[in-house]
Amino acid sequence: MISEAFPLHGMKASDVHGTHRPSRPPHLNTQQSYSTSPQWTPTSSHHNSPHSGSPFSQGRGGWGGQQQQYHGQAGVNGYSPPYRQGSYPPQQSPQGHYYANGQQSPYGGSQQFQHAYQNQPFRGGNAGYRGSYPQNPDRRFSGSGPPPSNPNYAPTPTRGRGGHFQNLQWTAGNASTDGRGGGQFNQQSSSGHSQTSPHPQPATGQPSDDDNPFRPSKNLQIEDQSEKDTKMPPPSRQESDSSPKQESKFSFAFKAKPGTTAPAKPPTDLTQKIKEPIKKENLLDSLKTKPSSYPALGQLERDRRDERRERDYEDERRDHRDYRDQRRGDHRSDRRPERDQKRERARERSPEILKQKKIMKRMKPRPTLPTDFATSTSVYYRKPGNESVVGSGTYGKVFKAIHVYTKNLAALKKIRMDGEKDGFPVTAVREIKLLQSLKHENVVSLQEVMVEHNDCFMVFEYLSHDLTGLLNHPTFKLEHAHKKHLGRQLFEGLNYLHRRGVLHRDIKAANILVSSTGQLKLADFGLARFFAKRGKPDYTNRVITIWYRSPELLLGETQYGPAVDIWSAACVMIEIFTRHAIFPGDGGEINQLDKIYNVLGTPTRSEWPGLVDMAWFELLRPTERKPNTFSEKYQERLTPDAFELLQEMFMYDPAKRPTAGDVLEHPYFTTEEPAPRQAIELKDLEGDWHEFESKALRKENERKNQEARRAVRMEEHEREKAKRRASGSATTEREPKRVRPSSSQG
Amino acid sequence: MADPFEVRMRFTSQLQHLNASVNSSQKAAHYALKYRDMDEDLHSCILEQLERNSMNNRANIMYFIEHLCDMAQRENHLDFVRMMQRDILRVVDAVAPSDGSGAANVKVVRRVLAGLQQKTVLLPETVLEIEAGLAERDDLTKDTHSALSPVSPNSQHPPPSECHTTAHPAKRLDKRQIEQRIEEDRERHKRLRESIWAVGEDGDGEFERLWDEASEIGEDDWGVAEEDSMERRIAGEVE
Repeated sequence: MISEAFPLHGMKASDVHGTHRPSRPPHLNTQQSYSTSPQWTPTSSHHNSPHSGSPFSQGRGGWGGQQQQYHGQAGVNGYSPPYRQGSYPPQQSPQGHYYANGQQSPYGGSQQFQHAYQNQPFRGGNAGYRGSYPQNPDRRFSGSGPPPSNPNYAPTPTRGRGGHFQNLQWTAGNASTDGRGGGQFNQQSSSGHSQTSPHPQPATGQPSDDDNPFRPSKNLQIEDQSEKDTKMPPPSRQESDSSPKQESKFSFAFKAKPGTTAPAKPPTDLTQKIKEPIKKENLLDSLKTKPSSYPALGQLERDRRDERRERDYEDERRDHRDYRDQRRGDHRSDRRPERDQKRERARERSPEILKQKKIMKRMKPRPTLPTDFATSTSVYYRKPGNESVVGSGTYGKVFKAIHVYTKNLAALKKIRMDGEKDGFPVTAVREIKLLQSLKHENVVSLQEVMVEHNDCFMVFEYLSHDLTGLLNHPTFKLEHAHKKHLGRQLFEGLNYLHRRGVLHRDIKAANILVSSTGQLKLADFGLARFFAKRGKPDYTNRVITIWYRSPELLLGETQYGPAVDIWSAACVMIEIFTRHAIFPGDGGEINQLDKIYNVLGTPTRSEWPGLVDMAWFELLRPTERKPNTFSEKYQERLTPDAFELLQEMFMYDPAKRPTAGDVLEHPYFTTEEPAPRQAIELKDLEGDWHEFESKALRKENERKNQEARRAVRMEEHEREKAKRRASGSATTEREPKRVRPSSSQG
Repeated sequence: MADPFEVRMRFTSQLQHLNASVNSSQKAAHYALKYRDMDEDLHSCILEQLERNSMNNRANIMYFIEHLCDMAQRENHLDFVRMMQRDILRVVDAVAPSDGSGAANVKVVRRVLAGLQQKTVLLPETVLEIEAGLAERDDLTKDTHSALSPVSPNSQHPPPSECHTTAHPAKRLDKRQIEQRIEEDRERHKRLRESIWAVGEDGDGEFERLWDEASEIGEDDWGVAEEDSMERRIAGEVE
């Protein structure tokens, strides 16, 4: 296999395109490639995947007869990537990777490379991996190759380039597949899911239909992949070889130039070919590849891919540096063992290679954005109108957005500026400052702050649900272990905040976000503040949504601490268990306290010595004594330990409430069965469920109910009318009409 | 020269419409000092309104008194101060009546008295004396408040309505007044907080405050330090 692959690569003579690029008009053919490529899906634009087929098809046109043409095309196509690089960084990754691997990059692409990785570590990185494998063996080849021919013009470098490039393309497709597998983005499924193994094959196979050189690249790739895993030779030698190689490229390039014309096949052909996979087999034969090996390869490839997918997943969060390092390591590992073998094969093939200087030009997948994104005035694309609103409140609105390049989802919180006389609201500054100091897996992370069209947005990671939305979900039910896991995350987050000296002051179900993997994050720090852990604080007591407000705040306390958050969190816990708020008051302090008294009884001085010192105690003192009905109302609905824990958190005296740390130590979390388990089942939940949506749903339901009622009323009315009509003559019908005016007068 | 009757009418109206803002208190105080030649008249107005209006309004007037004395001292018109010293007991009785109906105002009275003492309007002895009287009333109301005593097994019987009527005949304000009061207190608190961060120019005031607020070194600080060191390490690796 290898031997076959190699020569073919050489034939492509792709070396040239490196040098050619700058001088060529770049975009001639690109368009065509688009139209021809059937796999193209706009959603995955930054992965090269969908394009994998298209470059081949283009090449094919040239290949048939005129090498020169080919050459030219290569130049053209080669050119486009740099341009793209500039404008669409994320898509660059494979290219950037290329340079990073030690070849001299004429474009100084390193920066962009970085950029690409940052934006899209997952797929970009992936592509990079694969691209790199083929490259190394080739280089080695050139260095150590025994060919009698002119070393500068040695086919080997050519091969190296070509192989590399092609592989890049090819792998890109794989990468995207992998990416999708990882599920990082919500992709439109059309092309994504089915692609794992069968797709790439047809894509690469078809092009080879016309011209042999392309197919081998694929083989080579497979070979490389397999190599990578087994061998680990040091890289030093190849590195030194690389520079001569480049020189040779230059010369090649110039020769190739003159003949450039770039006929490309009409798109229809391509699609036809794709529809007829049988041709592939023929092709293979003509290439003298052993057909029998083909399936095996496919299998291999598939395995690799799976493996890689796993690894990629692990790597997902590493930064680009890590990628680079790893890649380097991989090269090294690829090299030596098979070197000799390859050398031999190269020798066999070398004459042929020399004769055919073909430039394989490879269409870089043209990064295009779906029209929605392309026309978006913001890098964070939002659906038009109110469709993208996922939350709204006094603070302003929250939009669901997607980054047009990375495709990452984000929640944009628009800072309300209207009605601000004193410039940028200080509350927003406080919130931003606070959030920037926080980093915890159970606290929502602020990614950036963006100013756009005179509006300021806080950009957060996007989570699909919030607790209110989840608990109001018509069908989804949380299990006990899930509830415990959510509860634990809630207190982990709170514990972190309180240890960092932050009071959240707006804990409520709607401010607690839950990801589609069951991860919980505290959000909305609009009311949060740093607090003094010692000394006499004095804060406003107009904080926390009133249903979740602790009795000391309701009674006017201004010197409070983390215990207010514990009370709110306890309310949330009850909600997690029962799906209903425990103290749903009418919005006023008096009524709210009554709701609390109704469940927990009226407080006594013995259980809360500080009670009478509360600022509004005299204003709001209970008029009658009420017994505690908490156990009667909730004991049966909670597990014994949960009940005990909640009782502790609902202490009237804030000093007696447990801290978040204490709560986490409670037997409910530590010993009682069932053990907490992450609610990964949420991934199967369709749609996003926030308070906002559930409110909309409720309104909709109310509307429907009303309509239904009205319909029933109408029906009854009709029936009565009909009855009347049936029973009575014209007089009875007229009578009511006559009666009405008289009665109104009376 | 303004018509004394009109001045009286206007001042009365201002007192009746006092709210929690510093602004309204100062406006009224200004007015009083503008017509300082009628100070006795205006003082009697204050007493009259204190005994006539709602508890919320009495609290506001109480805060106004503090402003008035302050401003009178600054403008060196001590007649207002003198008259207030003379009638302070009457004022306190009006704002926090002994029948418990103004229990919510007791804290207001205490705060204003402390302020007046600080401004040397009142002698410390006077304030102590008044405080003692207030404390007595406080205890009285608290003891009679059955809802606060622990629930004992056989205590179901004093019917709520009964204890309500006997202990505090006119105790509870209506809902609207309570809510208004809550808002007013918050407003006052907000104004208060505007200045509490200020420290004196002399020396280490700011440091002392920070020192007082700093907590003991504990586990939390360990956690934070650990986080910091991790960040430093990562930063080092990146280099």
